[in-house]
Amino acid sequence: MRFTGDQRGNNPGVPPPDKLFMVVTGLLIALVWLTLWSITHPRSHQSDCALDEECQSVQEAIARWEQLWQQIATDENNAETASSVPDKSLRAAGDTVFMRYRHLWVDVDRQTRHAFRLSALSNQLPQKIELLQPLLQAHDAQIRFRAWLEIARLQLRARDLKEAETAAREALGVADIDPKLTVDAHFILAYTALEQRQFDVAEQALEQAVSLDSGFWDARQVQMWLLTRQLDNPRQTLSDCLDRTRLLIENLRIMPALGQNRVQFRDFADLFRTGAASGNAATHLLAGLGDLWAGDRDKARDQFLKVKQSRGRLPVRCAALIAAKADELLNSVGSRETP
Amino acid sequence: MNPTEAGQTDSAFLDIAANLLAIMLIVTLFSLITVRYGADRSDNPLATINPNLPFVEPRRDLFPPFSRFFLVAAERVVEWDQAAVVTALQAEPEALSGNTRQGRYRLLPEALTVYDIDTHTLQFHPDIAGLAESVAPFDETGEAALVERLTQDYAASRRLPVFIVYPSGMETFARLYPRLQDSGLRFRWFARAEGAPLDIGRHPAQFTDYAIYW
Repeated sequence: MRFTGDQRGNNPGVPPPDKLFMVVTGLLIALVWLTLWSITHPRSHQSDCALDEECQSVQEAIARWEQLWQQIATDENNAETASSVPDKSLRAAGDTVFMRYRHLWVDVDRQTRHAFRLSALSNQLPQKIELLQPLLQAHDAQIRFRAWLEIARLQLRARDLKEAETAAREALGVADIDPKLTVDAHFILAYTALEQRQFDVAEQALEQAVSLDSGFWDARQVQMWLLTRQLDNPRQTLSDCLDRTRLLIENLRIMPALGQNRVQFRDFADLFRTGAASGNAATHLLAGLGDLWAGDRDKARDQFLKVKQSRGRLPVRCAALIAAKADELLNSVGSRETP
Repeated sequence: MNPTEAGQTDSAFLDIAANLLAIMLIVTLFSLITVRYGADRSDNPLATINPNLPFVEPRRDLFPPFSRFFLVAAERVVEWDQAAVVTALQAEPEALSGNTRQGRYRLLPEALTVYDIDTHTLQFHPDIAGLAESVAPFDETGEAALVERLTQDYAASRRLPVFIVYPSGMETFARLYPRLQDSGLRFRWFARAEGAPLDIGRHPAQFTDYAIYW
C-alpha cells in the first residue's frame, strides 16, 4: 500500500520543513543578488579618495611632479641655464649662512665683532658661551640671532642635543630676521631630530631649510640621505612618495652646480655608502637620471629597465607613475646600438 | 836544461793563467744569468700592499669637535694655554697683541668683513726657552698619563688634541706617535719650522680648501 499522507503531525519538536526551505531559499537568493551586484559595481580605488583633503594633496603632488619634468625638459633645451649657480656670491661650503654668502653684515660695531672673535678663539665651552651672553641682549636682531645660532652650534659640537635644540628655537624666535638667514637654525633642529631618530620632524625642518636657501649644500646632502631612507616605506601616502622622489631629483639637478670642490662629492658619496641601498623604483630612477646627466646612456638605460623589475617597497600607484616616467626616459634614450 | 824545456815551462804557466781567467769569465757569466737579485721591484713593478700599515683618512664633520693645542719642542710636550690668551684679549680690548706666560700673541682681525663677522687670525710665538726651563722633559711615564688624560677629556668635553711639533721636539713626538695611534684617539699634528708662530683662526679659505678636517 502506498503511503499518501504527510508527516507533519508526527514530530512536534522539529520546525515544519516547508518553512525552513523557504527561509533558506530566500537567503540564497539574497546572497546571489548581492554577489551579482558587487560584480557589476566594483569598488574602484582609482577614483575614490577617503577624504577630500587627501584627494587635493594627491592632485597637488602630481601637479608638482609634472612641473618638475617640464622644468627638466625646458632645461635640457636651454643648456646654459641648466647648471647656473643661483647666487654669484655663494660659497657653498660655509658652516653658517654668514660664511656662505657675502655682505650679510653691515655696520657692526667693533665691540660686538671682538666678542664674536674671542668666542671663536676660545676652546673651552663655558668660556665661549659666557663671551656670547652679552650679545643676546644686543639691540640689533641679527646680532642676537647670530649669538643664539652660535650657542646652538657650540652645544651641538659638544653633543648636547637638548641644549642645542633650545638655543636653535630661541634663534628662530628672534623677530625681524630675513627668513633666508634662519636656515641654519632649521638645519640644527633637523640634525638634532635625526640624532634622536625623529625622521619626520627632520624631514620637515630640512625641507624648510632647503626651500629658503637653495645653495645650502650640507642640508641638501643630509636631505638626500634622509629621503632615500624615508622612501623605503610601503605605508607612505602617494603625495609623500611623489614629493620625496621629486625633491631627490631636484637635489640631484642642483648638486653639480653647487659643488665647488671635489672633496664635497666625496663627502656625499661617503654619506650614501653608510646608508642602506634600498633598490626600490625611485632609487633606480634617480640613479638612471644621474647616469643620463653624466652622459652614460648605457648605464642609464640599465637603471631605467630596473625600475619596473624592482621589488622595492613603494606604494603601488607611486611606483606606477615612476615606471611610466622611466618608460618615457627609456624611449628618449633610445635603443642600444648593436655593433 | 834545454831552452825548449824552459820555454815550455813558462808557457805552461801562461796557459794555466789564461785558462783560469777564461774559467772565471765563464763562471761569472753564468752566475750573473742564473742568480736573480731577490727584490720585488726588479721584476714586479707593482708595489706590494702591506695590509698592516694604517691609513687614517681624515673626516669632515658637519659639527666638528673642539681643539686643544699641544706644543712639542725642546723634548717637552706642553699644552698651549689658549684660555689665557682669550682672557688677556678680553682684559684689554684695544690692544691686539700682548704676552702671556707662554709667549707672545698677535691678533690680526679681518679689516673687511666680507664673509662672517668673526673672521680673524691669531699668531702665537711661544717662548721655547722659557718652556724648557719651567717644564720637565717628557718621558715614557708621561706618555701614558697624557694619552689617558686626552681620552678622558674627549669623553667629557669633546676636545681633541692638535700637536704643533717643532724640530727640537720631533724625536719626542716620534716616540709619542705610535701610542697615540694605538689608543684610537683622533688627533692632528703639524710640523712648524724653528721660530715659526702658531697660526690659528677662522676665515673663508678654510671652507674652500677644507683645511679643518678632523
